[in-house]
Amino acid sequence: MASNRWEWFHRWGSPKWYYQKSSVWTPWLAVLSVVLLGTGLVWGLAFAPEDVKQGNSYRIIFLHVPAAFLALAGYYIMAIAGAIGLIWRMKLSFIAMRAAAPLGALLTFISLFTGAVWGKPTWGTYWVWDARITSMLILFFLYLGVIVLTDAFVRKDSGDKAGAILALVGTVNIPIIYKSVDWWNSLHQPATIKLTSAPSMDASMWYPLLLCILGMYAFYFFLLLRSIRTRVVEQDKSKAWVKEIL
Amino acid sequence: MTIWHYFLRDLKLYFRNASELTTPLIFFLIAIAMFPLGVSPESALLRPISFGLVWVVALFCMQFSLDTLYRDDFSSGALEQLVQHEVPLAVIAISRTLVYWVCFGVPIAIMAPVLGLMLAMESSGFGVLSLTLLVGTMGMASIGAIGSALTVSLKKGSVVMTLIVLPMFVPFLIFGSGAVNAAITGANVSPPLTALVGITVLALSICPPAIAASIKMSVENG
Repeated sequence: MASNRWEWFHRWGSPKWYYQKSSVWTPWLAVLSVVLLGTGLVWGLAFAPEDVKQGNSYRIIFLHVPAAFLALAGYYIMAIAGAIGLIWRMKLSFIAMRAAAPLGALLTFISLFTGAVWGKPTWGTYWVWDARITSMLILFFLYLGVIVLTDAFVRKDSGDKAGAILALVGTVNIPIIYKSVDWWNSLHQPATIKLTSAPSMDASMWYPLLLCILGMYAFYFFLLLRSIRTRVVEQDKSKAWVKEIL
Repeated sequence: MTIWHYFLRDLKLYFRNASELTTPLIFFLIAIAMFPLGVSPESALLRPISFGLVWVVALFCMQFSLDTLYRDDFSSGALEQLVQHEVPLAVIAISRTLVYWVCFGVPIAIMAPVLGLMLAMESSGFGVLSLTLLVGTMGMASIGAIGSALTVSLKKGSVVMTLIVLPMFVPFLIFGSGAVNAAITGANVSPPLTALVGITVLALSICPPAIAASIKMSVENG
């Protein structure tokens, strides 16, 4: 039956179902992220070999790159959640969008901050108008825009819709912004930073980095699911099922 | 009523309210005049940054005037009527965007070389400066219209709008001022110029449904 085929999807419309299921999932995600991130960070920070050119300062990569990965992926997760909310009018999906916005902004900030800290010993300055840094900065602005817009509405469902529309417009815009910034950078300061074209990483550095990236994914989804849980409880605080739990 | 009636109605409304029409353009002039005062009157210092300044201030000027797009129609309730109308909202949105471009984009493009002249800009770039602003303001108007429609029901909407619209103007700024830079340095103008035309056409074709959805959301929000 067609209704059965879609049942798994319709279940997501129930906050109560989500609350019960996520209390099973989140501990697993927590364990997974501790194992992956813990192993990756200890391996990367303590056991991976020193870089020939950059010495120990390169080790911030084990935090910088995973944060940047999730900062980018987070925007699309936010936008897809918003789109699902717009199309199927699913409340939980809008809650996921609202939860993903500050999380993504925080990760973008972390990757910008760690990049600046890394830049000082490597390039001799905290800030360079490099194509990637500039794109990340604009991504940070796009996140802030979604947060500010959704919070500006007193009526929740209006804020949900407005945020989803803006996030979707942003997804079309992001590749264009990236390409234009790339072009702009090649125009204004040709080949200042050769870091990206350096010979590929050695396996002894690459494996811990991969672990850190996977661990960051697990940690991201752990935080996202936790944040959605809190928001679900807050939204349904007058409903019977929440009163039963609390 | 056909779409042509709407176009003429919106144009008439803009021209009846002369101060609304001229204020952003006066802002354009005053803001440019601040730079020599703040930076330096030396033409050697102003010349290399002149066209970039004109483009950036044109950007601010655009988002400054975006509030005029839907604010009056929202407070008078006309926007609710437009949502109900037989002409699709997206089509009305295109027409309104074009009217807005005629009222602000075209004057900005005409004023730009004069302001460039005041900043000691290389005269070989005047034509391209006007052309890029003429094209770029149309694309920025259609993206800005989304921001305007999203925030029109908010009390402090214009501040929020600035925040969401400016980052999206980045590609226009880059390709626009990049094309002028190419014209002045004698490089090939066509790559940045075609990119600018391309993103403008893309914005014009993708934005109307988003504007329509935003207007519906704002009307529902009341």
